[in-house]
Amino acid sequence: MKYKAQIQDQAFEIEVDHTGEAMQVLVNKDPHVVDLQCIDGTRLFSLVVDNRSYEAFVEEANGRWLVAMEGQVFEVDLKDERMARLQKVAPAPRVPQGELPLKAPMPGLIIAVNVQRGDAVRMGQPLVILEAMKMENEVRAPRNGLVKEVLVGKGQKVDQGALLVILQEGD
Amino acid sequence: MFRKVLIANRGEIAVRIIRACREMGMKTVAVYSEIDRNALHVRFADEAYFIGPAPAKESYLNIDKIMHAAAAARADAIHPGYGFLAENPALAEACDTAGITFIGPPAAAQRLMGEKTSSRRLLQQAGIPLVPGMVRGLQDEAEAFKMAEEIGYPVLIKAAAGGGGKGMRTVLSPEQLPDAYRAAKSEAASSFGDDSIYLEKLIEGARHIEIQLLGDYYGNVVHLGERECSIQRRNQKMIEECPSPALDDRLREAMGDLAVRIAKMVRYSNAGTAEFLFDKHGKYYFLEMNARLQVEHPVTEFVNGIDIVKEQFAVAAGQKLRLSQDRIFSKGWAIECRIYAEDPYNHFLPSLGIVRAIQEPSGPGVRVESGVFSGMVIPLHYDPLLSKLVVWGNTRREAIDRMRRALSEYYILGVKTTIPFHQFVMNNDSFIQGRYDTSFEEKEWREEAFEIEDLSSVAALAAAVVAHTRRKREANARCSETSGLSPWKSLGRQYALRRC
Repeated sequence: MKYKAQIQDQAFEIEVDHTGEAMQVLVNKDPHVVDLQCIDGTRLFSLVVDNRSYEAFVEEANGRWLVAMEGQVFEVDLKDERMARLQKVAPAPRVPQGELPLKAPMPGLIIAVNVQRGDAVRMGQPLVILEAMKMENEVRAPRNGLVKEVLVGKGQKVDQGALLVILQEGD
Repeated sequence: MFRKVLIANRGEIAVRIIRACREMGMKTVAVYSEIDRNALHVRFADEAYFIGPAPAKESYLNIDKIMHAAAAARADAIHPGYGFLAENPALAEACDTAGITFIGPPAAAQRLMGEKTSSRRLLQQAGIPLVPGMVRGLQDEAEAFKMAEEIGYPVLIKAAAGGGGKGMRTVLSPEQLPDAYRAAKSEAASSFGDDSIYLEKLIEGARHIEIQLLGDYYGNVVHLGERECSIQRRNQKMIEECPSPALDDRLREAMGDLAVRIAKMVRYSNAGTAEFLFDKHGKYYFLEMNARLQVEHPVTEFVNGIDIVKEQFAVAAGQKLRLSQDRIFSKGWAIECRIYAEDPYNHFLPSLGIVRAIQEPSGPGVRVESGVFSGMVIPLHYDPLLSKLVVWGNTRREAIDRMRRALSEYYILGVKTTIPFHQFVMNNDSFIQGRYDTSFEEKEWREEAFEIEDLSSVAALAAAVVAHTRRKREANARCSETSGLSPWKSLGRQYALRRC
């Protein structure tokens, strides 16, 4: 896995390969053998890099990494390369607009309906629980909105593609 | 001695005093404000009394509340530490009235030394060498212009009731005077409740050297040698050492004797400090008396082997000084670094936040006086001093090497601290050679990131491997979480969810 680390104006490309017994790390193409041990189960680490021993406090706080070594504290901006690339190319997640019919993803039994007509719902909120193949599946709101219509009731059997709930714009 | 001691303070100094009490078999009473419920001094003490909201005026500076707690706890002594009420004669007087022993100098001596202009007047008459300047407060701005001209620029405006760099302004030329006059006056009013200010000649390139004093109720006073306190920022001390690299035995004795003479003159008892300026030509001037235990007292304790806090209790209990001047010996060298929650790379501005992790140095010759712990919220209401790191060495060189080593073991995560500044000083040639004065910080410290050894590539590597390992572990955990389920079921569930 490749990472990009930034400390103030210094950039580092770091590649971690931990498929074998020892962890191999390339820092700006320079190879190192690294042994990492967590001492306190959370943030205190012993780090042996090519037999040089370091102690470090490592913490992630709000996406920033804090590394304290030998009395100095470093703020590291760390991204793995895949994330960095994805962030660059991926369009913003598409949020469906307008009136939105929600359909049953598979045939099954409605075991709960959590909303009523006129309810305001938040994105991600479970609206209907559908049991299919003995599994409970939550049908969630894909965006914020108001419940325009509820077309199913508890205990009802539905086919795949059956209309469950219709959402409309509103808060 | 005493049965139960109330400590009218917080932070590292309260912890320091509690430790002395416990070793002496005295019970301890902490007082705390709203935001200090979890503070170390509360946890270390035998009893704890809540005294009010976070602002110091409503808690640690409120004499009534402190006396009330002392009465409720039936304490027979109050130690004020430094800062807050330590030099406020009203607390000493309230103690006298309540029949509680105040661990510090008598109110009369406090009053006399606390009022800088009147003490200057008294000492000038006695022929004590003083920094040239006024012996009474300024009437108005017009008089400030006249006096500054008479004394000769550059001058220093100081608060008559002041200390600790507050209400103090440097004036290099007449143009700067009006602003400095106003700023000093308002700062003096807000810090000390007394806006009277006066002028002194600014002695450029001076060192700040002070003499530790100890006196009893019977007129005996000894000095415990000097401390060098020239590494400062904004007129506040950052690093102190004992002894001073600038003094020889002759000067040490002369300044020590002078300090003892001053203390006897004002009938001083308990611990106190005579501060001097020491100029480029080896001339010294008495500056002021700090009528309290000093922040930097541990460096003196390290080289003299004397516990100053315990001596304070002994003389306050009415014992005679057990030390005579010819039986006080110093050995080796001690240095103290003050660890503040301040960002040295950003004009030493306070750094607020939560201490997320901390590891304190230890080992031979290392002493940490700390009021900080993991999970502590740094309060904006009080002095941002987190701890004091003090080391001792056989020689100054060993003390510096030891301080470097100790600083490298010190981790404080979550807030910015002055540790990098101290690392810079311990590696600075002027400091190492002992050639420095109070202008050191201004002249030598540069805010460009300073690193003794470039560890940034290792730090980047550390962050990456920790992130990598964590993610791998999380992936494994996710696997084992769902492992109770048939793989077909979990696959089916994933597909089903993807479709909707």
